[in-house]
Amino acid sequence: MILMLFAVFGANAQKIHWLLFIDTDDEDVGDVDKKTRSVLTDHFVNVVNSVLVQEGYEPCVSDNYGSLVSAQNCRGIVNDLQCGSNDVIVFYYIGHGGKNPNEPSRWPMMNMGEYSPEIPLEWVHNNLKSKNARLTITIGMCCNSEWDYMPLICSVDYGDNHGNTYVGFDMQETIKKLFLQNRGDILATSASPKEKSGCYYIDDKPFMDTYSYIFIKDFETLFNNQNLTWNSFFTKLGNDVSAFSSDPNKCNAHQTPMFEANVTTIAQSARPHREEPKKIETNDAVANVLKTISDNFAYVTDARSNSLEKRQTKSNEITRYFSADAKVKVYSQDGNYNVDTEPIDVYLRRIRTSGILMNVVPFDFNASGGKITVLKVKEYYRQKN
Amino acid sequence: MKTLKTIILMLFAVCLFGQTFAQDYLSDDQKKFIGRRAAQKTGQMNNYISYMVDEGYSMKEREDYMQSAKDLFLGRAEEYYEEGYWKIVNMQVTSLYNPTRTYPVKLYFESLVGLIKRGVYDCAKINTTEIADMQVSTLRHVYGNEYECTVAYVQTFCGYKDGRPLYCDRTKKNMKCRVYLISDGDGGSEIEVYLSDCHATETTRIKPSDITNGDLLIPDR
Repeated sequence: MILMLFAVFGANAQKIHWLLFIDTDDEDVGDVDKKTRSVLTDHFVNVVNSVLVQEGYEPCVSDNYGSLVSAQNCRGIVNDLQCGSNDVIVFYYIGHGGKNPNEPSRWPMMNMGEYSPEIPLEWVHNNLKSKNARLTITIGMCCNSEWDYMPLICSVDYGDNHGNTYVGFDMQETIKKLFLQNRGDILATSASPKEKSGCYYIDDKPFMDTYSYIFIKDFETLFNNQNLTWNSFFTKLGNDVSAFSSDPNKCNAHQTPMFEANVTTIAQSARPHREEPKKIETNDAVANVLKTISDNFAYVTDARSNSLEKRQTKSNEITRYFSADAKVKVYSQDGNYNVDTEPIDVYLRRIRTSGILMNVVPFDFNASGGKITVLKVKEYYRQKN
Repeated sequence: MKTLKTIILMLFAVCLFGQTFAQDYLSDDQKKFIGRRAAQKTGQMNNYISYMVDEGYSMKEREDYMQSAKDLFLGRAEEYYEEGYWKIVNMQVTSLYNPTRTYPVKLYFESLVGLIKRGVYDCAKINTTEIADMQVSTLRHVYGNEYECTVAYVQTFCGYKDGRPLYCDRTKKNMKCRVYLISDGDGGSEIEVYLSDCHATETTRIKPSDITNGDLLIPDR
């Protein structure tokens, strides 16, 4: 009977926890890291979330940059993270790092915004693994050289990508397979011991860090092959980074990424039941408001879990948190250009009925008198079949 | 002399006014992104159309999809007042046996929603080019704060009776999209993208052998 009820109502809410620590304030690499943060979020985090939201998962993004990147904050967030047995955790660090010559571990230590390496990547991984989530991925993009780092100076715009807000069928299936049908853990880093992590240069200007640049490129190409496994992805990524960074005309450091993957394939668990989201409180912290709006929008777009009437009722309820003349501004994935603006009522009707819109990611808002007047979002569409 | 001064001032004002309205404020990058947005909106409309003829949805749901589709158009597909005239957006419809006809978009949608109800077909399927494969013309500055582009796609229609395809065709369509660059009231500007008139350019018959398991094939353009 219990099993039957479980089958009918699905499992409890399942989450994907993103712990992003990107050192955007560093005087040497801050500008490059700002660009990398934007590309990583728009081309990887949001794309994966868009597919997992369709499968009933709730994305929880702990987006730490600027002053939030500190050893203390990292320890606190890693220690305090709570998760369920079917959750997914992805940790991604971008910043300075190094290796203590007296430390036998081959994994680097991360500076986390401090002057010297403070937090071992392996400590983060072991701590996250102990949370017993279904899948734990820990990635450190930093130097693995002995107490040294690469100074980088400025950044340029990421290249045009006018179509990636559109997630193809193969990519949707591969994301589902790798994130939802695997159990275990992966620890990866951008360089081997004694190696620095460098930068990809275009016209003598640093473009992005080499590892994250190839990571996104490989994600956008390799994830279109449904035969991909985590092992084959990180193996290819390592080979690609090594080959790419061996050209001194492109990169300022040759690096050989490492990874350890202990994953086994499992059947995808029952689609979790999407819980009714919390009410939007505009006087809450900005990140919380954006998360609540995102959860409310996910509820409205989820035709697989919720009937038309339920979604319509929720949609009407959401309208009350917006001023009568509120607008939703849609932005491009790259370049941060406003590409469309719609009144809130039209917008909510569209996302409720769309059928091809996978996910809406709110990233900023203005409020007045306790009501939202302008909401800024990015949208992710899916291929129909 | 006074008249001459007035004429020169008027000419100067006209030139200045003309220049202001001839100004193109969007960068090439912005134009590309907005063009892709126009394709997304066209794809969204096409998806609504496929729902409007899907007998798996209730009449209430199909009408809901129709309203969502109308929201995408200039004037929400109702009459709108522009430059001293009342206008309405139109959709061209073609078939193998009838000449090209032009209907207001809202009438076209109403006819699609009622297609099954009228008993013309037991069921119908409409499939269109995927958004990523749609061709978009360069966003062109028209006048003042107005821009335009065209999204080209292929629409495939198949009407079924007693489980067998009764009539199927494939039409090339060009959707005109209107883009406005307007002040957001806070010293900045914002973009609004609307679908406008849709022209049908060419209709060809589909052989039943091209239809497999109810799936309609969309060829590369």
